[in-house]
Amino acid sequence: MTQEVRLLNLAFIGFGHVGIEFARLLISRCTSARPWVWSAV
Amino acid sequence: MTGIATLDHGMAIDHAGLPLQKVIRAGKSVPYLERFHNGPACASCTDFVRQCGADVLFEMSVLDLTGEPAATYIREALGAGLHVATVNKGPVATHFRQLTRLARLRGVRFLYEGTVMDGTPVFNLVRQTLPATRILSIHGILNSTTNYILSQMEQGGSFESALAYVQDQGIAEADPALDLDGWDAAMKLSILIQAMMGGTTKPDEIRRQGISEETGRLVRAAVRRERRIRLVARAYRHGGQVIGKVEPEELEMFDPLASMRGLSNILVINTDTMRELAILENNPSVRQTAFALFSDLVTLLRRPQA
Repeated sequence: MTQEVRLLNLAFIGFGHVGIEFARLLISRCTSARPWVWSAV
Repeated sequence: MTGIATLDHGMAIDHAGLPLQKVIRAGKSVPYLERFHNGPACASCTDFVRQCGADVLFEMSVLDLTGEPAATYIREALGAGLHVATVNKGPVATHFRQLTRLARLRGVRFLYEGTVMDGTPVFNLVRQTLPATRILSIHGILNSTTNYILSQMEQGGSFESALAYVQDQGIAEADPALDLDGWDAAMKLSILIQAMMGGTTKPDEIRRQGISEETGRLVRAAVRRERRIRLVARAYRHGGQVIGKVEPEELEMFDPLASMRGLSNILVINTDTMRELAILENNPSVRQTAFALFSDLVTLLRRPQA
C-alpha cells in the first residue's frame, strides 16, 4: 500500500523552506495509501 | 521528481527519479545536490529546464523586483511545453501578459495560486466559483511581515524584535526591505489587478508607502483612539484604468481589516454579483505556501489546458 503513483515528472527550481515543505507534502499525499487525495482529480 | 536546481546547493537531474526522501535528509551542506546527479551536465538553470525531463516545473526562487531570472526560467519552461507553477511574485507581476499568453500558445498551464495569500484559494475561488462576475475593487492586508510588526507594536513590542522574529521564522523576504517598503504587497496587488480585474498596473505603477520604526508612533496614537494602523492594499477602477495603492491606513475597530493580527492576511473583493466577499488566512506558515503548489498541481491534473 506504499507504492508510489507516478503521474507526472516534476522539477523544482529552488529548494529552500517552501521547496522542502512541498516535497514533504508530495511524499505524504502522493502514495496509494492516500487514494482519497486523488479520487477528486 | 526528475530534477532540482538551486542557487547555493547545486543541481541534480535523474530521469529515473531522484530519491526525494534522501535529498530532504541530506541537509544543506554546500553543494549537496551534486551527489544525486545522474543525468546530462547543465551549465545554467535555463540549461537545467531544457534537460530535466519534467512535465511540470515548480519555480520557487527568491523574490526580485525585476522578476528575473525567474521569468527567464518560466519562459524557457513554457516554451519547451512544461506546465509551470510558481509562488514567486516577481515574474508573475512583471511579466503576467507575456507568460500567460505563452502558456496559452503552448497549450500548457501557468499557475500562481501561491503568489497571494499562500494556498488560500484566491485565484481558484474567483476562476471557479464567480462566473460572469466583474470585480469592481479589492482591498486587503497582503503582507504578513508588516502586519506582524504593526500588531506587535500596538501591544508594546519593538519594531526590531518583531522584524527579527519574522526573519527567524523564514516569513520575511530574503531582503526584508521588500516587505517593509511595501513592495511585496504592491507585487501581490499588481498580480490581483492583472489576473482578476483585467488591468495592466505593474508594481512600480502602484502608489506605495511602507512602514518603519517611525510608524510605531502612529500605531500607539491610533491605539489611544481605539483605532488600528494596518498596511492596506487597494485597487479600484477609474477612467478605464485600475489604480493601485499600498499605504498604512488608520482603521475603525469594526473594520474587518483592523481585526487581522499577527501573520494573518485578508482580501475583500467587491463584485457586481455578490457584492463584498472576504477571504482570510489566519497565521499562515510555510506549509500553507507549499500547499499552494500542491493545489496548482491538482488544478493542472484536472485541467491540463487553460
